[in-house]
Amino acid sequence: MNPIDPGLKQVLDERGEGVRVVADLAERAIARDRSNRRRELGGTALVAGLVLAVAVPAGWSAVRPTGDRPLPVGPSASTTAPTGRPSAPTGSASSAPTPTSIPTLTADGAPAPVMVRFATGGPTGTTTVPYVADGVIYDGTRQVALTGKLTGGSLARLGGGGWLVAQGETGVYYVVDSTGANTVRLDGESSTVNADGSVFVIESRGSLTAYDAAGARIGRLDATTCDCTPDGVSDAESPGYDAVGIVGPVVYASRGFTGSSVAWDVATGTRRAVAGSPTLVDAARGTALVGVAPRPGSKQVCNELTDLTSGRTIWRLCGPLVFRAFSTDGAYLLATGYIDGLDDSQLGPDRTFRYGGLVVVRTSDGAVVMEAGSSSAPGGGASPVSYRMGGDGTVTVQVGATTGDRSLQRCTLDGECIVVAPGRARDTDIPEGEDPYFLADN
Amino acid sequence: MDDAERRADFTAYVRAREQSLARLAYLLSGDRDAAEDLLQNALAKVYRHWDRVRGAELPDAYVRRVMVNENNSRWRGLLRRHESPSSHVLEVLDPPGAPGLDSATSIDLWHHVQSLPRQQRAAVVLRYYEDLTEAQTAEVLGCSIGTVKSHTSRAISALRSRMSEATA
Repeated sequence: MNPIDPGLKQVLDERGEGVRVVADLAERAIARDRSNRRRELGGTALVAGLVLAVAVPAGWSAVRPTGDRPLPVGPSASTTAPTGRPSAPTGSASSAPTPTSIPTLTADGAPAPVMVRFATGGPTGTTTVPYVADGVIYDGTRQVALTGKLTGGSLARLGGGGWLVAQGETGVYYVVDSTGANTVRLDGESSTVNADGSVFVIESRGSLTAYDAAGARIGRLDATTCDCTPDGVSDAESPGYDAVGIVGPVVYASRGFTGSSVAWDVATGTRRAVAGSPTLVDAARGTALVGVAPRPGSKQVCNELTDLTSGRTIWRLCGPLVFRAFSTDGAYLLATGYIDGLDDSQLGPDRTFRYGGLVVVRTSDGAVVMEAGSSSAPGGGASPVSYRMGGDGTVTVQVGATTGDRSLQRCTLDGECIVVAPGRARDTDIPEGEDPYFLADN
Repeated sequence: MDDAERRADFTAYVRAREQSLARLAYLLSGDRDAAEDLLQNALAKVYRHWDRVRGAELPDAYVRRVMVNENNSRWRGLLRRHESPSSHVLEVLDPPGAPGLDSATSIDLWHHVQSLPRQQRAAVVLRYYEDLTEAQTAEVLGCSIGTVKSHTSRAISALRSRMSEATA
């Protein structure tokens, strides 16, 4: 033992002795796991190769940082806002034809032409995007009080004036009628609803069950039919089907780690294979966003916008963005630049994120048109937490203030915002606390 | 094992081991805020894989490895979640002073430990605080025994050099 060794051990011992756990650590860890799962559900735009990286959780390798897929920093994260951005050429995207003649764009972190300016103060307007808060659904000027103990967790509009509401993280969904009364209880881990609310699916343990707007079962796609695992991977490790969108009666679902998908027509029960693995589906224009496996040695994430009918690739966009939703009319994509696990090469020179928490991309040409939550954006530290874009060209954003409160704001594409719902505290004063507003999925 | 049982089992493990894990997190990361984030992130990952972890012969070794990997993650600082004044998970008291070491020496040595490269610091903490063997340390760090020797040797040399400079 070196002469310094006894002293070193003593110093480590005395420093360790002074540390005490003063909270329910197990509860907090479980809450953080829940929070991380929300991020994963919120950020489905993951490239197939990276998903495959966690497909083989053989022992410890599954929890090594290099084995983790990038996750968007989700709704409940109190994330350190990026403090800078790289100097970059002007223009949000550059076009460079590839040998395959797919227009390829690079999201290089150049400032968007419009930076969102979040508002302050009380509500001065409304939003067309329904939301639920503290047990009440707000649908324009109409309010529907939920009965029972429902407070909200996710929300989607169903046909006939009903709603699909999830309660927190309990994995329980309720079909709620127009008066707010629960009519059907369904168990499952995630839900996907089509644009008009006539069909929805609940995913549970890799199986999909389709229901009509009243919650009556239409059909089931069992995980055992998925054939989801590549060679050499146990079927037990397969996540089964994962619904990514519904166009009319056709459910698009990825097939585990295979990098392929299925289109399941719940009206006829027929299935057909779909090349690639869409991560978001746009019913309005019949397009889908498909993750592209990175080239060997590359850490760059790319996504392609494809035509669902012809399979044609409209453009490929490469850069550190995780796409979270299409606008209702399919004219825009909403993405986040806060991504857990990015390679250093995808960060700015000062190792901050290249983009803010909300990036709006125009689907016609893949251009970044607006951004919020970057260090250079105005707003005094306010950050976008969750968002939806209706067909009216405005984005409804749950905005996190530096105090931890969340408000709802409606922002136009010229960056101007108004408050549409007041600041509310999260449910508990911990970083993983549940956000107060849940915006409708459809 | 259903969710309630899984949760209860994980909670029992954490309650039994939390002080030890908290100290390791603090020694690896060097400050309270970072340790809180490290500890919660690591345990969240452990909870995610709890069905496998609980069946492991040495769950502590698994958990240590998660913590070291999490601490070494180069992008973790970007995403740190900050506690509010009322939500802290850890309390860190000033040490009373190690017997045989004067206060200034103790503080200097602690500062120098904190300035070591992460892998070297992890090797030192695992070897000298956790009392792991070189083989066990290699397992946790995911490297060879030779690399552990190298990390430890370089760390000790650096500490000795810095302490010599301080007393010169």
